[in-house]
Amino acid sequence: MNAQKINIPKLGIFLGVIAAIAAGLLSFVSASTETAIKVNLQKKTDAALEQVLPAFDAVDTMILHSEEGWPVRFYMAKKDGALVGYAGEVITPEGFSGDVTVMVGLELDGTIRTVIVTANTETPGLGTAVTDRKVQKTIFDLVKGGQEASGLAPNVYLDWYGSKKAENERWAIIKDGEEINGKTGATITSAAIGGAVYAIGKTCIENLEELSKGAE
Amino acid sequence: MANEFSKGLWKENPVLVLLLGMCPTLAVTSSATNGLGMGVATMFVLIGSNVVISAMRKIVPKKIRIPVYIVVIATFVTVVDLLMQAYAPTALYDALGIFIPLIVVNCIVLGRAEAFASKNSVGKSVLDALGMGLGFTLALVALGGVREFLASGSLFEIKLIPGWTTDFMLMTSAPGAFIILGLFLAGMNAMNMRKAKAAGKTYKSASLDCSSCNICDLGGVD
Repeated sequence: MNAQKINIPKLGIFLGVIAAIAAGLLSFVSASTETAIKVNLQKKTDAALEQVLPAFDAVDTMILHSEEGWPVRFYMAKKDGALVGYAGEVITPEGFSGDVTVMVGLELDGTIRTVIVTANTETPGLGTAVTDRKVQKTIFDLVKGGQEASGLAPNVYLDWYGSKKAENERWAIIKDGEEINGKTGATITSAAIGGAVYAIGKTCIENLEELSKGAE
Repeated sequence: MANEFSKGLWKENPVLVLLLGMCPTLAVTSSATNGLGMGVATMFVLIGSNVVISAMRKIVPKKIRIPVYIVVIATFVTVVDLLMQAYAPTALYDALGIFIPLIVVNCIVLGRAEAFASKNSVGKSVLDALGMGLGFTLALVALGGVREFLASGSLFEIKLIPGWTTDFMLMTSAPGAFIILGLFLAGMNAMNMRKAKAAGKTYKSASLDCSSCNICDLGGVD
């Protein structure tokens, strides 16, 4: 094979320039969308809080750390000055394809009320079957028209945690029978959510005093 | 000109003929809705990347075109993701946002950049992207629809058969996707063969094998 003349410095510089343009464009877009994204996330958080908490008119926040060392953001909800419930939000890194953000509404004694997943990048159709709350519609609902059901849509995997308390260790994943909190084909997602719910519940129970004090 | 658009729908359908983008095809088509979301998000990115790559096709040195394309595509995908997160209606981002990170690893985008956009004008590249994107979307919706119906008796998340409560798990997981995709491919070949026979010819698949591929440039020295 003949020695080909390859102008390595020239090619390197070209690639470098392309990469620099890309980096510049990305940092520009990232910087200029930052505030808008934050506003959107805040809106989402507010909507999520309304779903997991009883009616409230003021909310304080506090960050505590779970056994795993994850920062758990707690929201102390008050109505007319009296504490009505807590909500905890944690980002678990144990998801199947990245972080999963789980929010849990809790009673004043640390009993779990509602679990919702506020952000995830799990596989659509498999992981999202565990994370999403969607109303199951039938063809008859379409024909009849009728009004949209209000309130939180059920999800067997997430609802399993309702009225439980985080005790000594994480819950096992159960995939058969009436009681299920895990989906076949999405075991990792199910376990990640279980772990996150446990981390929030446990941190809440261990810090009940601090939480009620923080709300004052 | 119309051929640039229509070839992606059937003759060179990215999923059913080129067999590109198998990873999202198999992973995402568990329902018709998911197939639609992935298809639309991909079409969006495909149009953008085809335009950019076609516009810079004359200045990119041949030797380093693949890394350049990858940088361009990854940048474009991230920009789309950020812009959608910031300015798109929440419902739209909730529906499509989850598919966008998956597009970076979708080889249809790189495949069309290399095989088409790098050699054709911007206008033709847009048509190619539209056709390929639409073909990809249709294939994914069809695949997702069949899988969703067999798995739980629903379509676009609407139950067609009330009272069907037991999930047919095989169809919701990747092996089910392989089986249905195999049947689709067989059916497509059978249709093409029958058509060719009726015209008195023997069916030959589009020449998309190694000899007509130029990604690794085995044929020539540049």
